[in-house]
Amino acid sequence: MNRARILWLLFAVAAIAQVAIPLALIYRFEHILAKGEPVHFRMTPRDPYDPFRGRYMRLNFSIGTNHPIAEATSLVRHQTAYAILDIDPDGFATVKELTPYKPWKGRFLKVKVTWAQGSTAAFVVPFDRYYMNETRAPEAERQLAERLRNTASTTNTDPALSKDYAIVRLLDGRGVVEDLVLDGKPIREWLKESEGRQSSGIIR
Amino acid sequence: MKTDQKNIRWLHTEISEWLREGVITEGTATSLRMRYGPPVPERRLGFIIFGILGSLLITSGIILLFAYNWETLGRPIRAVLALSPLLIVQALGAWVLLRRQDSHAWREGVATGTMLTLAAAIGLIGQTYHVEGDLGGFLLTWGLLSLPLLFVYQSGMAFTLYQLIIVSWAANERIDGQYPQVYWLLLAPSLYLIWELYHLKNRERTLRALRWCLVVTLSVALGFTLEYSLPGLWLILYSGWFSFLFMLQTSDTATPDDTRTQKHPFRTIGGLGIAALAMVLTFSFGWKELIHVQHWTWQPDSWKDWLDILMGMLILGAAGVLWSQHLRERRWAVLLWGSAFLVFTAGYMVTVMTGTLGAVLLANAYLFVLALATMRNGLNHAELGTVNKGLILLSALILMRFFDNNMGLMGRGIAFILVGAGFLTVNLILSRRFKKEAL
Repeated sequence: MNRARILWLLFAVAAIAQVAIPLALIYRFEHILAKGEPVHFRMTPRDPYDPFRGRYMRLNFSIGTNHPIAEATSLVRHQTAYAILDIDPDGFATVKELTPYKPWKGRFLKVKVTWAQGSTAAFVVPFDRYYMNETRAPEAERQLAERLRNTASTTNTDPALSKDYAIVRLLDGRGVVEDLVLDGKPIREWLKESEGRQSSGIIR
Repeated sequence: MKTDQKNIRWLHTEISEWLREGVITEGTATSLRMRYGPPVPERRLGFIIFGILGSLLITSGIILLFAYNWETLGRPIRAVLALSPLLIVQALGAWVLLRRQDSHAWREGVATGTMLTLAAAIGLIGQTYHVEGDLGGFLLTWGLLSLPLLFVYQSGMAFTLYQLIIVSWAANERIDGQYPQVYWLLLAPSLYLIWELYHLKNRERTLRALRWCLVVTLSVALGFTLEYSLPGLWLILYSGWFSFLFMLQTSDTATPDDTRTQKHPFRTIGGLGIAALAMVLTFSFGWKELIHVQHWTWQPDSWKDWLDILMGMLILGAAGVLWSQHLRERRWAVLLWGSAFLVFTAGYMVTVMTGTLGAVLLANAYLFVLALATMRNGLNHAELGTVNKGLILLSALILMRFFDNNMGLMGRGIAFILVGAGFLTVNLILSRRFKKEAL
């Protein structure tokens, strides 16, 4: 095979792989969103910035720290583990235990262990971002700060007591955030209402 | 051995001049022209740089445009749109392969563009689905998908980006406690580009840039890929590595402007590494981690430890081969710098057996001899730059000892003034002397 042919072959293989892998990612996430079980995770949102991917809400989840490690198993820092999830009486996800082995079935989440000692361990929640439109994210943060000032008694910065939550679609240990719920309303609706309240206040 | 195109161009101009002046005959001129071949026209560096820069700016702009997050568009549409800049650059790449394969600037631009739009596509899909994604996975995917571009476009910029990606990946693996050693497997195929360019004409400049990139990234990656289970092994490995680099490129004296730093990445980085290592090891803290270590009973207990040992043997073996070669050719100046790995290995042994004092004295003596020998070498060859390198080493050694002794501000102030004055005086005297000798 001459050099030109090899070059074209290499180009074609590279071009196909470069498109196929992102498409496979899109398919995987769409599949999780379509087929995954919706699970509610308590959290509190905050608004930082990623220079290339734009504005996002950082989601501070209540789960993640000090969970029991499954009996007869052990975990070390940086290890991949599986968080076996339960649903509490209020309908929110809690962690039953952490195991190094992938469960055959049930509700579980693939996580990375950040700390482990004895029979307890901590992990990072793999979906702690919610990207928003550049103009909406700071507005959302402003509204959240406003809400905190006005209703300090009913809103808590501790995610374990928060009334806000993320709806996450779970499938085979992977999760994709479907929506954020603030004060019982999806974030877009909540923002619209907050903006409405604010503009009517200004008119008055 | 390859001859620099710049020198060939210079030679061809001179041959015409010599012929005109009757210095050489027509026959000699023809022989010389045949000996060195015709000069390849000079490529426009500016055009290549602007090609890369333009590509960088356009793709960055596109990335930022998408980062705005067009919420009104549906999720799958946004995700697929994230792929569109990549598809456009890929189409441009096909056109470059068909019509502009000879254009270095086009190839560099399109390779850079493809790599950046690829990273943007993966990142923006993450944005669309609110997935943070793990950095290691992202870098590995980006690197592996970009690897073929190095060879398709023979691009120096793609090579540089690839090296940065895999070193960052190794760093991330080290932080995550995973497998940074896989870096060597990722590095190996990319080296084929250097071999390929070495056999092409008119690519000396790219080749030199790639060597610089490679030697810097390799020196950094070595630190990330070691397992560090045997304390102090890094010291022997790094001294071996820098000695190897220094001795690797000292026989290349073919070109008249040979002494310029930019032409000698291996020697420059090797020399800088040896000097830095020697300076650190003149302090006792440099050796402290070696005390109270049970070296004689240490046994490797994982393949990562064995890999450290293998790396050590390879690096020290390669340095040893070059060292004996320079010894046979009696290149004393090179040998002195290249002996760093022997000196520091001796220091390692001394520390393990008797404590840090002997090793500290050894490192101080080595740096002192290195400084004096470099100055002497500069004086012998009437090179003020080399004399200054020796002076810098000597001044650094003196100043470091002043700091080591916890001297007061007054003492340090006087030391600085004396060293500075010595520096200026030596430079003044030598520059006058060299000027006189040149006349």
